[in-house]
Amino acid sequence: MAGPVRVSKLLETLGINPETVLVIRNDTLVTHDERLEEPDTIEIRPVISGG
Amino acid sequence: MKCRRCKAPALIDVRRHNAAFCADCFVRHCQEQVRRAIDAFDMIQPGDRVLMAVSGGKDSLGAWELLADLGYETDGLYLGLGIGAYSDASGRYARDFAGARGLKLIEIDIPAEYGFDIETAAATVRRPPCGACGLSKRHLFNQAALDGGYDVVATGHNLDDEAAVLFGNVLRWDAEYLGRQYPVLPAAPGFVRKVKPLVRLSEREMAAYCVIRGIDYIVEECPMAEGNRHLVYKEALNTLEQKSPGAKANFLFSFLERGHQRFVADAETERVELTPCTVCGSPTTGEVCAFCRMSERAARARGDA
Repeated sequence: MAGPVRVSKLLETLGINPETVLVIRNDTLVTHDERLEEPDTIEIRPVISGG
Repeated sequence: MKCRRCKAPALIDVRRHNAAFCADCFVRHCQEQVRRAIDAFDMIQPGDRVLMAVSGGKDSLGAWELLADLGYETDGLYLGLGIGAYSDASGRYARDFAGARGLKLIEIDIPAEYGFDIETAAATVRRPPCGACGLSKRHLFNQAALDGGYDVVATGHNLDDEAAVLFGNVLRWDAEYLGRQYPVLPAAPGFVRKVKPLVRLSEREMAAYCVIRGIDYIVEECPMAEGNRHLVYKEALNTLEQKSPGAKANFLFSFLERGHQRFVADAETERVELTPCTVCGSPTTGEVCAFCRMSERAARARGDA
């Protein structure tokens, strides 16, 4: 996906409920209002477990 | 966003508290939530020895560190469930965590010590794998705590877990389970106290805690849990939470404050006539306890295969 884009917009575009993931940029957590830039490496980590 | 406490740049937002936190303040927030849960429900008394049920996942490893940092004498217990590469990996995370922090980890490998694995057990007794796994964990954690002289078993059940269990219990209006659902299960003859110190923290908060604290945990879901009802309930609750932050916490804590007591009598009927299992001695309603019945049949099935 092309940047820049806010975390909340990214999750909305991907159809992901923000309650169910963490967004990690270059090994650091980011809040939902953070703006992601083109060269950023983003991990969207699921947090829901079934146990 | 700025940290609610110190106004430094925030790393994590928690919508149900209408707050965001920097790393240090978020760790303090998690510690405070655990402390409040322990105090509110009288979970752990001064001098208690705690056995933390550890899976290698975010909740149990995070809870272990939180309890240790709050000053509780806490050892870990890891059960090898025999779920292939998943068990191999989760065991490594638990061992690495304990080793790096100098904490004591007890290990019980079910295939090696009891001669079966969870998949075989589930098929043998025609239960879902999560049912066979839960039965094994409840039995073996309790037994290990009794054998080791621990006062309390702590589990990593978080706010989302408890809300999802409540959701399922309410959907079925299962009065007995509703009467038993509480963050503390008191000790009884043959049973140590069970506590859930993460009841005030969400799954997302626990994952964030581990990332911030540099705790490596198994991110992959247990392959046996795929598509289970618990996950469906969590999905439904998280849909509500997205529209109405705080919905999960309100649902759970309103029940604990105003609903639970109404069902206690339904749960108490079950413990009235317990006798020792003729195989292992654990209290049971029948001659042989459910774990020993499952264990014996599953070990035989595995031997025949």
